[in-house]
Order: sequence, then C-alpha cells, then structure tokens
Amino acid sequence: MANIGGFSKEEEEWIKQQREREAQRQKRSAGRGEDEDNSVNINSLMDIMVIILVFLLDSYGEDPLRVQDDDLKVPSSASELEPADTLTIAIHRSSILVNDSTVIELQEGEVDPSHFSGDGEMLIDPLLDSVSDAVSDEREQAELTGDDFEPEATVIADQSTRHRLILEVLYTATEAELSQFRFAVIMGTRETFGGFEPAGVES
Amino acid sequence: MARKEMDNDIDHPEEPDLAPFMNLVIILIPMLLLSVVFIEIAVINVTMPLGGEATEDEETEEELDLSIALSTEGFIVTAVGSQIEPIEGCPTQGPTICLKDQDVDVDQKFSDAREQLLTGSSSEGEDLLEQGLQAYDFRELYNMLVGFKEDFPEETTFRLLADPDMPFALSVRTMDVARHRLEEDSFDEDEAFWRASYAEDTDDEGEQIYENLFPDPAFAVGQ
Repeated sequence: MANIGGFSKEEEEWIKQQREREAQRQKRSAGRGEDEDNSVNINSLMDIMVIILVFLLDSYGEDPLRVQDDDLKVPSSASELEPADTLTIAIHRSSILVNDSTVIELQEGEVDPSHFSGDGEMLIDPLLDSVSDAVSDEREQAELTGDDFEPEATVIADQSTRHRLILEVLYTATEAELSQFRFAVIMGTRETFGGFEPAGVES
Repeated sequence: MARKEMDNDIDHPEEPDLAPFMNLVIILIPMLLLSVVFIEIAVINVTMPLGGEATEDEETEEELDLSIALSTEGFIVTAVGSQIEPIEGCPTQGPTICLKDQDVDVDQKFSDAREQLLTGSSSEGEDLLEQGLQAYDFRELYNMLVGFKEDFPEETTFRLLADPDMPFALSVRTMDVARHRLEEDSFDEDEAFWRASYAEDTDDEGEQIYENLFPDPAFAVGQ
C-alpha cells in the first residue's frame, strides 16, 4: 500500500486499527439503540405535563373574580387598580348573586317590584338579607383572624345593566353597612374606547 | 461471566403503569386551558354618599360641587351650583354637551342592545351598545373638566348621575375620561384625544404617577 500523506507503516496500521475499532463501537451502539426504541421513553413528557398541570391548577384557583359568563360581561376600562379579595355582588343580565350564590332572578334586567321595601323603593329586601349575612360572616372571620373588618364590596356588573339597578344595589349594600365599592372592569386601552386600533396594531 | 449470571438472577421490579395517570393529565390540561380566561381585571373605586351628612361649609371658599348627569341627549354638567350652558354647536335648550350626532337615538340603541344580549346574541348586542357609547362627545367633556381643574386644582370628586335606563358601560367610560389628565389640556380631534397618553406627575415619595383630574366618583341617588 502506498504511503499516505507521509505516515510510516506502523502509523498507518495503527490508524486502520483505530478506524475498525470505531466502526465496531458504532455498530454495537446502533444495535443497542434498536433494542431501546421498542419502548418509548415518556418520562420527560410526563414531567412537562405535571408542571403544566400544577401551573394551570394554580392559576385557576388564583382568579378572584369571574367577569365573563354566559349572561355577564363587565365593561372595559382604562383603570389600573388591582382587585382585592372582598365580598362580591354580581349583577348578571338575569340574576343578582352575592358571593356566587343567586339571590334574586331579574325580569328583563329589572328587580320584581314585590322585592322592594322602604322609602323611595330603592331597598331590595332579599339582597339586604343576603348582604347582611355575608357582612356578619366577614366580620366574624375578621375577628377570628384578628384583622380589621373593611366594609367594602366588589360589584361585578354587566355592561348593559341599567343605572337605576346599580343605584338600587349600592343603596341596599350601604344599608347593610358597606361603604366602599369597587366596580370590576376588564382592563382596556383608551384607543379602543374611541373605536381606534391600539398603537402598533395595523389594520 | 459471574457478574452476568448475577444480573440475570436479580428480579427487576415492574415499572408502574402510568398510562391511566397520563390519560387523566391529558384530559385535564385542555379542560383547564379552556377555562383559563386570559383577560386582565381591574377595579374602579367609587363611593355612595348618603343624604343627611351635612358638611361644614367654609363661607369664604367657593366649592366646585361638580356633577355630571348622563342623559339620552348628552352630558348635563353642573358646577358651582348651576348648570353649565350648552357648548357651541349644541341646541340652546339641550344638555351642556350634546351628542356628536344628534340624529342617533341612543335610547333605542341601548334598548335594542339589552334585548339582543338577553336573547343570547352577544356580539350584536355589544355592537349596538358600543354604537350608543360612540355617540357621546367624551372629548368635549374632557376639555370642559380640564377647565374646572384649572380653577379648582384641589378638587378630586364629582357626582355621577344618570337617567334610569343608561347602561353601566356609559358610567364607566365617563369615569375613565374624568380620571386622569392627558398630555394636552384641550383636543380638537377625537383620534388625537383617544390616542393621547396620560400626563405624568410625581407623588410625595417622588414616584411617577398619572396626573389626576377627578378620580373620585360618587354615585348619587336622585335626579
């Protein structure tokens, strides 16, 4: 055999041996791989799945307010104040709920006149009872935990709710010793309120 | 050789069958993904003052006593004890700031929107509601509020009144417009107004905040 690139015979032999050994090793490792391919290793997939599941369960439990439903969509606003964990009064298109329990069914977006009492027909009786119970529960909880009781509520009202109904609900809540209210809104941008595309979005 | 035999002798424990658990996880993930609502929620703080609590007026100081009433014809603004005259271009007997297009029947739009929403046609209902809101001249309202703020820089509250059938979305948008001052004090065009950023200010601790206009709305009972 001709002398390749100036190697001595011993060196050529050594290179040949090395190449053969390498080829054998590759053959062996390929054979092992074939055996392992018979069962798919799903461990890493499982890890990812479990992490995603924990993350989703965590974010599912975190959301304190439900602002969209079949008969509820709160309006958009440019407000940036963060919601707090308080008593909630939700005014859906067909019902009023206190802490997610239905208190009154609405008829075409209005409270049935039989539910009113008091001067000026602003006080909704069943709502007053329900909010008063919720307030006393919260007060007891605050006493047990040693916290100060904050007389506040978050009002989650549908965007089409009549102004009069909002007033009736707020008035009733003030009768149940609540004095501070927060309206839940979906965060939006000013441009969209004027009917324009947000900056950076091309139509 | 001896080691190979020993390896064969050891009973390897059977791997747990993870298939049922995997099935459960694969079902749970799409279900949770569907239920996650990717929207950001904020709140607007409001108060509801009740009658009977008379405040001690300082005779020497004039108060703004600002109130904005939402009607089907536009905004009726009251300040310093009297209703503000209609602005230029609005009917003399009408509200302070009339609708941009006075031919639009916003009452009908809101009523139709409610009907559509109650029958389950959400997108049609929301479109009608938005059309009604777009008829209001929020730009002129802002221009007027900035003028009041110039005269009463310490004032932050205003009363929000409305016709009984006005939708909640209109109240929220009015509160939005009245909350912060923008880069400019007066706007001639709607697009420039809605695209303007908030003017910035520094608080007592030196932190950057938005400059306030009338950020403390009070829902008032009565017309």
